[in-house]
Amino acid sequence: MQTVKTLLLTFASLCVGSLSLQAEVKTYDFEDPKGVNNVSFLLDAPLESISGNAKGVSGIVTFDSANPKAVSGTITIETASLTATNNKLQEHMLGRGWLDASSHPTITFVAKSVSKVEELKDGFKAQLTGDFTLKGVTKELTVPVAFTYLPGMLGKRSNGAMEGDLLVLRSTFTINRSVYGIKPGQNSDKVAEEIELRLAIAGAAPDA
Amino acid sequence: MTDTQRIKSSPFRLVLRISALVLILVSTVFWISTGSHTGFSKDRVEIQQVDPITQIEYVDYEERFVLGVEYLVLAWGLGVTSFGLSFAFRRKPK
Repeated sequence: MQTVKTLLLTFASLCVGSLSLQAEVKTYDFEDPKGVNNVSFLLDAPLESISGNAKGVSGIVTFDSANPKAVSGTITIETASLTATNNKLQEHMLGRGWLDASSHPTITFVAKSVSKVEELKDGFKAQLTGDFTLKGVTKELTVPVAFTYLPGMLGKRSNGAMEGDLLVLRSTFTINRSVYGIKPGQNSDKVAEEIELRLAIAGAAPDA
Repeated sequence: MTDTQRIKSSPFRLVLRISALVLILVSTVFWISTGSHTGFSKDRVEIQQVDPITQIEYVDYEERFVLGVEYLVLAWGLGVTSFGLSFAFRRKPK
């Protein structure tokens, strides 16, 4: 009898342990109907400074608050959503000569591995390595990312329509346009070679 | 009547000077009224926002034209040129 009781207790504790482990792994959807998720870009050339913003962000990230190294997922930006403050500049930027948005409609980052994880008060920061694709050219990049985990905050954000957690990702990194075949070595006096990208996006994981 | 005599009585001098003054004044007033923007012209203006829950900073755009320095420089250039040209029609002293 004692053996059966012990076995039942062990089985029950294993089940609870397994459930709690599963509960920590969540999939966050970065589709944002509120229009808050954004990636800003800055090109600071000697003769002209170009800046703008992209809001066509989507993607799925799987995140385990207990095991940050297990992050995986993809973030996608619609190339056509890149907006500059000048219509002519925007037309040129999205045109065939530069980003060629019609032939390359998305810019993507596919996460592959996480390193140098440092715990923060409400999340952690880490170096995220992944494949970054721009204008059809894919290069491996390692970028610093701050993960802010906001458990139970989806309800507040959706005015109670949905309950769940939020995950905020922030990253600032620089790429070189020549590497991605964007007019290599041309117009450098007006269009900087280096593009600074600032990403600030929030994903939602509704409770099942 | 010689060409020189015709130039003497030309009204162009006054017209050019008034044009120069109007160009410089109107462009400067318009530039100041749209925000004295020191960069290139904008067709929309960024408005910084902060999401209260996630603290994400983002930009909303207001569709509004802001005159940039390229038009101001062009208007001043035309104004100065117009003023300079007016001297070509100067009356000769008797």
